[in-house]
Amino acid sequence: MPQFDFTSFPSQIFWVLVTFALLYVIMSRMALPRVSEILEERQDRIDNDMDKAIELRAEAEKIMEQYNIALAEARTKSRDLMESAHAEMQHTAMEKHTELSAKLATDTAKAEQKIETAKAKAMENVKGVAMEISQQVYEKLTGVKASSKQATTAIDKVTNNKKAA
Amino acid sequence: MAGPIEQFEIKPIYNLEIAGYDVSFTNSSLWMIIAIVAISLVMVLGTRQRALVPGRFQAMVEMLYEFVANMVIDIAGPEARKYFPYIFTLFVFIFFGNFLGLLPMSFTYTSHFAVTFALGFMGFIIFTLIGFARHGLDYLKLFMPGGTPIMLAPILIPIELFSYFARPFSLAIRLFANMLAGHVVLKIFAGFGVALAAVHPAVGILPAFFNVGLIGFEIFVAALQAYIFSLLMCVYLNDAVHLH
Repeated sequence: MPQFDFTSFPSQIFWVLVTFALLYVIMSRMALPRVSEILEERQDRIDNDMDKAIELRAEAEKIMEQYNIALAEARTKSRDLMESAHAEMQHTAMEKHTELSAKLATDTAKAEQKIETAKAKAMENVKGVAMEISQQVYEKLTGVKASSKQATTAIDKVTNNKKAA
Repeated sequence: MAGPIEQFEIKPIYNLEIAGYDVSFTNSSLWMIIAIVAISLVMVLGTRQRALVPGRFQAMVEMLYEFVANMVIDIAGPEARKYFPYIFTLFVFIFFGNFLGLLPMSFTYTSHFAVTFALGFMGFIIFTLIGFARHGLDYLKLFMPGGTPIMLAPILIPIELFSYFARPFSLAIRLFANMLAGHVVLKIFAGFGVALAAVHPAVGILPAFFNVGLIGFEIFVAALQAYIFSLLMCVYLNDAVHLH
């Protein structure tokens, strides 16, 4: 069996040591550092990207928080604005109302006065007409002309009586 | 018809003599050179592009690297990281030797006891030196673990010593015997086919089918034996680094 032909041992052992040593040098000096460099680079890249992603997420969260704060602020502001506008509107409505009612009151009063004077005037006219009519009626009935003074007193008497009644 | 053992014959290609020893360049040496050239080409060409996202070739090299690196760290711990290039070299040297040996007309240098023993004994010396360098004489505690009753020492120490010195032999014999047996069986079936073909060509083809399955099995054995050899080396490395 060639495996136990000891004359070949020195050559085999010599060459296995030489080739193994050579391979060890190539692997440890060239090949393995290259592979580990590639793997490390990739790991670094992944770690970097992870860190960046975490950072970005934190930033996004911060922005979200700020946005929420701004939103809440805007909400309270708009509510305040609405409330104050409502109050102002109510206030002006009240003012207008009182103004208008005051004007209406004075207008009513003025109109009432006018009516009163018109009524008094009309009454005066009625008196004159009544006097004339009563003078004529008296003349027709009695044939005696009644003075305007007599007629007036008579009418006054009637109207006073009526008033008294 | 070549016999099943003829494939293991060592034939000198170039006669060489150093200090009275015959160190001729042989077919075995040739395949060692082919193996280390192939390994270097794979490792260097595979990483040529230094791609962030590896292609198929680079992924293969990275997987090989990580496979051995994980094995070293899992078994011998992170302190053994600096011996990783040695274990890696050992693994690929045996792995490629086993695989290249499966090629027709090639020579399997790992099927020779001289080679496997040289590899195993080299590891044995390296790990013994590491053990004494790291722990001094405490390394001898490997043969008498702490907590063992002193009464057991006369039995335990010889057993432990024997198992320690048996390591390079068990490594060497396991690898060379596996490769030898596989190649012999392949050759026997191939020869059987040729002999049957003399009876009838249709019958002669039958052992070839068997050899197809056998080659698949031998590929498995080639990978497995390279793995076992380097795995046990990691176990011994762990002893040297951590003292149990």
